[in-house]
Amino acid sequence: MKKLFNNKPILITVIAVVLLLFLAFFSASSRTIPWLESTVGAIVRPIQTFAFKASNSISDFFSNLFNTTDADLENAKLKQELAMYEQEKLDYSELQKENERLRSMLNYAGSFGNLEYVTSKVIARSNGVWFNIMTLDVGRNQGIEVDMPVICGDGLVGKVTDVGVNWCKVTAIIDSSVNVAVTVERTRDNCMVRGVFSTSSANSKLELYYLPTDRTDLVPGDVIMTSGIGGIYPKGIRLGAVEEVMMDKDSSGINAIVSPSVDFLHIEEVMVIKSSGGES
Amino acid sequence: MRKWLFVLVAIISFYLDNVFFNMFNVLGIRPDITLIVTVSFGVLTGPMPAASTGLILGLITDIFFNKLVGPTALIYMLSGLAGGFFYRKFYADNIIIPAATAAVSFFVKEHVFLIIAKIAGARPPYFVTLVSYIIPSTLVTAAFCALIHIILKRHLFHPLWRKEAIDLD
Repeated sequence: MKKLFNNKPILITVIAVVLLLFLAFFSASSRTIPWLESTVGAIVRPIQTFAFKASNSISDFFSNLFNTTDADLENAKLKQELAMYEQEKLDYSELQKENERLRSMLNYAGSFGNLEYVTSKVIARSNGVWFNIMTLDVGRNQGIEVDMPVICGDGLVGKVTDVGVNWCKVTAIIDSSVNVAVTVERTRDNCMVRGVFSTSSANSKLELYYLPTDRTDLVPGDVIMTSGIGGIYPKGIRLGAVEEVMMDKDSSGINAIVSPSVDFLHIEEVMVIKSSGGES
Repeated sequence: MRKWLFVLVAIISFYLDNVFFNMFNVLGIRPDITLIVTVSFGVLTGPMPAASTGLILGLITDIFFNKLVGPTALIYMLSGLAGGFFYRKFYADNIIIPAATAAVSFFVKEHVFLIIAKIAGARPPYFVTLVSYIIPSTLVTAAFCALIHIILKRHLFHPLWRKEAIDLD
C-alpha cells in the first residue's frame, strides 16, 4: 500500500479516475455543475464557432461542386470574375440564405401567436452516434433556461437540457431518450413520439407509439404535431409526417415511423422559445 | 517548441473529431482521432503526458457534446495510460501496438457509451449496432492510428527533437 502511495503516476491516475467517476455520477443525477461547464464552455465557444463555420464552408463547397450541371461554363465564368467580386457574391449569397432562413423561422414563429423567443446559431453538434445534442450560442445571459423548447422554420428541434453563461445544449427530438406528446393532425389522436436510434443522422426517424388501439385509419403522410400536453412544448408545432404504419410486436397497438420535418444534419439557426405568451 | 506542436496536434484532432468527421462520415462510421492521438502520444512520450492530453480533451468533449461529464475524459485518460504502458518497450516504428491499443480502447469506449445510452432510455439494437457501427469504426480507428502514428513519429519525434529530449534527460 505504501509502495502504491509512493508511485506518483499511479496515485494521480487513481485520484483522477475517482474524481471523473464522481463528476459523471454527479452530472447524471443533477445537471447543475455550471462553474465547470460554463467556464470551459465560454473559453472554447469562439474556437468551436470558427471551426464549425469553416467546416460548413467546406461542406458547401463540395455540395456545390457535385450539384453543378454545367461545370465548364461555370468555371469559365468564374475565371473572368475578379476575386473581390466573387467574395462579395459569396457574402451576398450567404446573407440571402440566412435572410430566407430567418424569415421562414419568423413566419413560423408568428403562426403561434405571442411567442417570446431568442434566435441563435448552432455552433456544434455531438460527435459519435449515441446522443443527438446541439450546442447553441445563447445561454443564461440571454435568459435561456432548461426545458425551453427549440424550433426552426421546419418544426420542432428539441429542448434545452443544459445552460451555460453564453451557450446551451439542446437535446434533439431524434435522440432516442426524448419523448414528446403529439397529436395526429387529421385524426386528432393523442399519442407519443420518441427518437429511433440510428448510427447516421441522415437516416434519423421518430417512432409514434401509444396510439389508441381502436383507431386504424392512420395513413402515410399524416402530419404529426405537438399536443401541448406536458407543458414543455407549445401546441401545434410540426414534428414530421407518418412514413410507415405497423402493428406492435405483441399486437397490442399501432406504431408508426415518422419522418422528421427538420433536417438535423444541416440545421444552422434555431429559435429558443422563452415563453408562449399564454397561447399554448 | 515540441510542446506547442503537441498542443497544435491536440487542437487539430479535437476539430477533426467534433466538427469535420461529424459532417464527413459513411453511415456514422468514423475514426476517433483524439483517442488515436492520445494512444500514439502514450507510445511515443510515456503515460503521463498522454493521460493529461486525453483527460483535457475528453473533458472538453464531455462538456460540449455529452449528457454526462466524465466518461470520455476517463476513457481517453486510460487510453493514454494504456499507450504509455508500451513506452520504450517496443521499437517506436512498431505500428501494430498503437493500432491495437487504439482499437481496443475504441471498442471499450463505444460499449461504455452504449450502456450509458441504454440507461438514458435509448434502445439501440446491440448486434446491429455492433456489426454496422462499432466493429467498422474500430477497424477504421486502427487503420487511421497506424497512419497517424507514423506521421507523429516522423514529424513530432524528428531526430532533432529526439536529440533535444536526450539532452534534457
